[in-house]
Amino acid sequence: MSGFWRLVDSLRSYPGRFSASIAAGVASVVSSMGLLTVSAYLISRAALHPPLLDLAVAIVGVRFFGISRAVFRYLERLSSHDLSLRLLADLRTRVAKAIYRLGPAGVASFRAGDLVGRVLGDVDEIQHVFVRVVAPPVIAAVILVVTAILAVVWLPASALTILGPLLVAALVVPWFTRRAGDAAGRTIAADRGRMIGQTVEIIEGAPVIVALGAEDELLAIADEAAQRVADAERRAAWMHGFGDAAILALIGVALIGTLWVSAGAVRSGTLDGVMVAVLAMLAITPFESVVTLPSAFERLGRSLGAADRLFEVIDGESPTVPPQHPVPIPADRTLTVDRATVTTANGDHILGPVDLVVPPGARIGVVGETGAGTTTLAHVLCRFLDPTGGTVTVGGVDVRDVTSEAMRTLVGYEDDRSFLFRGTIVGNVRIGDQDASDEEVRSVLDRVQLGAWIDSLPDGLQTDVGEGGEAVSGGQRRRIALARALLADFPVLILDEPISGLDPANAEAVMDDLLDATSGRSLVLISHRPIGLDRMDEIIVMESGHIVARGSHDELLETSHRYRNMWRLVGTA
Amino acid sequence: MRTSRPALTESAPTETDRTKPIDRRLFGLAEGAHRFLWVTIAFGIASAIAVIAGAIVLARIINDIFLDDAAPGELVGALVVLAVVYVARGVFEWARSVAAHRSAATVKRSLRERVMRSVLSQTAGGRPSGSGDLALTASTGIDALDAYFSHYLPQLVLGALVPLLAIVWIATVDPLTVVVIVVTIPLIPVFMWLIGAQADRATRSRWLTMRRLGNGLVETLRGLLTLEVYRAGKGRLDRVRRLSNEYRKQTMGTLRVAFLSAFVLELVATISVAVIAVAIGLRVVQGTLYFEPAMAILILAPEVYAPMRKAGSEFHAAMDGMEAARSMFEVLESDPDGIDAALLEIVPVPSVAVGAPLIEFSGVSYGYPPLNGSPEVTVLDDVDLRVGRGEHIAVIGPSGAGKSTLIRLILRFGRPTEGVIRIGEVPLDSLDPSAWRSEIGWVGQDPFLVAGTIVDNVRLGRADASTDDVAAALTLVGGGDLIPRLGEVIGERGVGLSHGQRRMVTLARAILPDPSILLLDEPTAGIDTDTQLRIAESFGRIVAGRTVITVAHQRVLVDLADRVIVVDGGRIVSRQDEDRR
Repeated sequence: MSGFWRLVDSLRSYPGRFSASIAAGVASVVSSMGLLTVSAYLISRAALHPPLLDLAVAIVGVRFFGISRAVFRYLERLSSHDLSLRLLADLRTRVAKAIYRLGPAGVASFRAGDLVGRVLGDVDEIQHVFVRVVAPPVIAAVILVVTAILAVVWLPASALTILGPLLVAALVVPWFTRRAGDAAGRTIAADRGRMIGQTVEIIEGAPVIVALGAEDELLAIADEAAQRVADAERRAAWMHGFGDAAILALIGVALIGTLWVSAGAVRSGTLDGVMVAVLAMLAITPFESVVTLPSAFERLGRSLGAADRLFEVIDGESPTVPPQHPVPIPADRTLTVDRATVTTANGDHILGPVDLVVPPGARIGVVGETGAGTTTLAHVLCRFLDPTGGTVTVGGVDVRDVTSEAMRTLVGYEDDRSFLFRGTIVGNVRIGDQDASDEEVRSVLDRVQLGAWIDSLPDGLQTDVGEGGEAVSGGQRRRIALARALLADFPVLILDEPISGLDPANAEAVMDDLLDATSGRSLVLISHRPIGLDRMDEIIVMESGHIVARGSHDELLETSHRYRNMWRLVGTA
Repeated sequence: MRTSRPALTESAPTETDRTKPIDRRLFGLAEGAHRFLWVTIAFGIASAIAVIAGAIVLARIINDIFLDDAAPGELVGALVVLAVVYVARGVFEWARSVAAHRSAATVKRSLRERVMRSVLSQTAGGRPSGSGDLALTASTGIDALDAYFSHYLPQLVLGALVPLLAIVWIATVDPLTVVVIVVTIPLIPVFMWLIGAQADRATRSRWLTMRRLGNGLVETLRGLLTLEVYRAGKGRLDRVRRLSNEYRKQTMGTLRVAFLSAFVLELVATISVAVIAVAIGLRVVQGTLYFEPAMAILILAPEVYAPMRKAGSEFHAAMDGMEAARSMFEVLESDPDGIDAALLEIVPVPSVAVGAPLIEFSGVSYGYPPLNGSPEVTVLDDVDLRVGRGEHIAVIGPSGAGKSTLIRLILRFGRPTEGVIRIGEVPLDSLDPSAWRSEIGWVGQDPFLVAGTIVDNVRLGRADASTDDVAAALTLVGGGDLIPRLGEVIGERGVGLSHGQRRMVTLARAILPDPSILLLDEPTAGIDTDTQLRIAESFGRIVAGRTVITVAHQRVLVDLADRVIVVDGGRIVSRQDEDRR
């Protein structure tokens, strides 16, 4: 079942709200049909000069519909938006749950780069799906039925003359504009993408362009792309206007046909002359419900894609399988990686085979450039990911037989972002241990050498770190993240690029404090900068998923060209 | 965050903040926009006439069938006229829509181009500009103008023309209906404005809370790894659900008010039709009005109110576009701070003998102007520095020390807030900036590359360079491995190349015009070890025979410098003037 239909299916959780919203939408269109048909009836009857009392019902009807139209429309808008927001809340929770289940390694397997941006964009698109894509055709369908019934009751022949053009307007016109729009849209999208890219390039790259003296060249390139887009938009404009024009013409067809059959019926005595104006209004008014359909169809394409992508995440398979019969973690905390390999579902080999032993208290350095497989190795060690070949054992027990809960008490991991949540310093450190006292929090912060800094802050431990920790410096963020890891008291700690992005002096200081604070526990330090590696027991050098050299610092300086080069570069002035 | 959405800005709205429905500036800048207005008015009049004619013909036909018992055959002539009217309405609508889209395209193109030119010339004039927000507005935000030109403005024009022409005709048959229309039509814009302002305030005041709530999911996604490691995810999932529900309640509270404006609009329109219908109905009964004109008025009534209603429903989308346009006008209209006016006379770049002072900072301070009430940030503080022609100096210091600002001031992207920079004996301010910059090769930290081939990108340094020149420049900087890929197309920002390869391209680009001065801002930062080593190996060749200022940390680069200066906290804290080799 496609993502879109599953989304529509989820509307079934709200049968009452769904029906109420559709009913309000239908009532709103029926009201505007009612306003004009009853008014037409009123004036036609009036032409026969009946006693005023005979018109009372019609007058009340006109006044009622004059008010109900706006009221129902307001109710429709409120109820449909309320339903959309409810669906949005459900969807957000489902996506959040799915992402949590997938874990960092599972999420990383979605190749589309910025998953967060993608998910948010798609969720954003989906929140309009009910109001703009689902509701309009449903309402139009009900209106079609209402119109058909009225037409059959009043003058069966008019059912043909009204519904024929109405169906063409509801189905053929949107289909045609979408088809034609699609073809034009694709070329526009590509040209537009280029033009937008160039606009951003020029504005953001202005200093470089000015320094190079290349203003005219770049403006000429941008102008060429803009010209192409403008030409394409002009061509597309022909299509845009077509839909509205076609619907107007179809109203004309419905009107003329209906008048024609009415004239015949009035002469043959099968239709009361009073009803001629009423039928004319019945021919015009239902078109109101179909004019929104072309844009609903247009939107449909985008919504389909967004829904499919979201359900791809929601259905994503977790990269680890919970054990059938969980085994407790043995007292021996030695982590052993034995010929572990990781191959992605589409056959890309991203790790191994890797052998690695992390005895209790050992310090292991892992060096490699971006893409060398170091982060995948970290994910395997944390069991965010089960290797596709080989094993990871702790004290001889395969980690696949250990619950993920138990694994989380054994192995801690901080990646290169050292992500902090919005809130206070103490709140962020306490993520490591919810029950820790202020004194305990303070003591781990002292261990990462933040004590003096915190004392200097007016709000101390209660200082806000800002969104994503942006209110504190990079070095401080690293240290706060390390403090929460220390508070959690993991026997094994994996630190992935803890000093990336820090300037040399800062990097050395953070590394020194980090190594001091973690002494005594097992540490796996992943870095592409050699700072601190000379204090490791063993270092492995990785390249495209493989270990290309291993040994102590001194051994590697002898044997590994790559390792030697790294040290050559690190020397600071 | 998009800047183009007025309702979402954090500051409290003031009345002057409100975007006007028609901004003269928008029409001043593109002749297409002017023609569009006239075309829209012309087709608006044609449409209005067709609408009125249609109502009269339709009423006549209904009258003939109902009261005169006409046979279908007798109606052929009138039905043909009716068909012509509807087809004409369709054609007018179509033509109007084409004209609208065309002018939207023209205005957007012209506005974008002007913004780009303005940003470039302001940058060249030394004025810092070009925020990410502006780039976003100029690239995608401005597309919201489509709604303005294609829907909102035409409906506004029709909203004025159709009632006006309808009144003229109705006045000849039933002056009383004219009174109803004249009284009710102005109510629509008045209520729109009153309730719109109210809704705007409600929306804006709730925006901050709503954004905080909406961000719950973002944080959960971004902090996933942390939640996972510390087993804190369960609580977060509950939080997402709770926040989403709170978000819904808050949003609904806002929408209840926001939708009121549309509600009142519809109400005025439909009640007016009802009032007109009942009033003419009663007069037909009394015999003071004939059936045929009464029917025509009834058919016409909803058409009189329809354009205003449609304009109202497009109001917010249209205002998004106007807001985008407005933020661009701010860029276009901002005077470059009298920087160029300060250039009383332009002096040619002086030639300086080897060894003589080329770049001289005397007591130079630089601070970013205060922003949003935050105090001025001092980046450089009383800096004295003298660089001789042919000299190579290295600048080191912690991040944020002011090293990059030093480089930018030499490039004249910004002027010292105090003190003076001299080139030779001449103040930098009196040199033609582009002539001065043409002497300089600059490699900044931003690997600015454009979509195109590698050779295109290197050639940005010197447009008339041959492929051989490009290859030679790449070889010189150590990027010889890129030569077989010269014709390869890379994406925006160099997508398709590694960080190291991008740096190689920018270095080659800086070297290509053979500049006498080279400013290198951390040329090996953030790239792989191999490329760093290759740059280090070729560094001697890159700097040979030029005046060079290198900001760097690596000893392999710093070691080649004649002098090292240490910058910290915006001041030069140490100079090692002796030859350190």
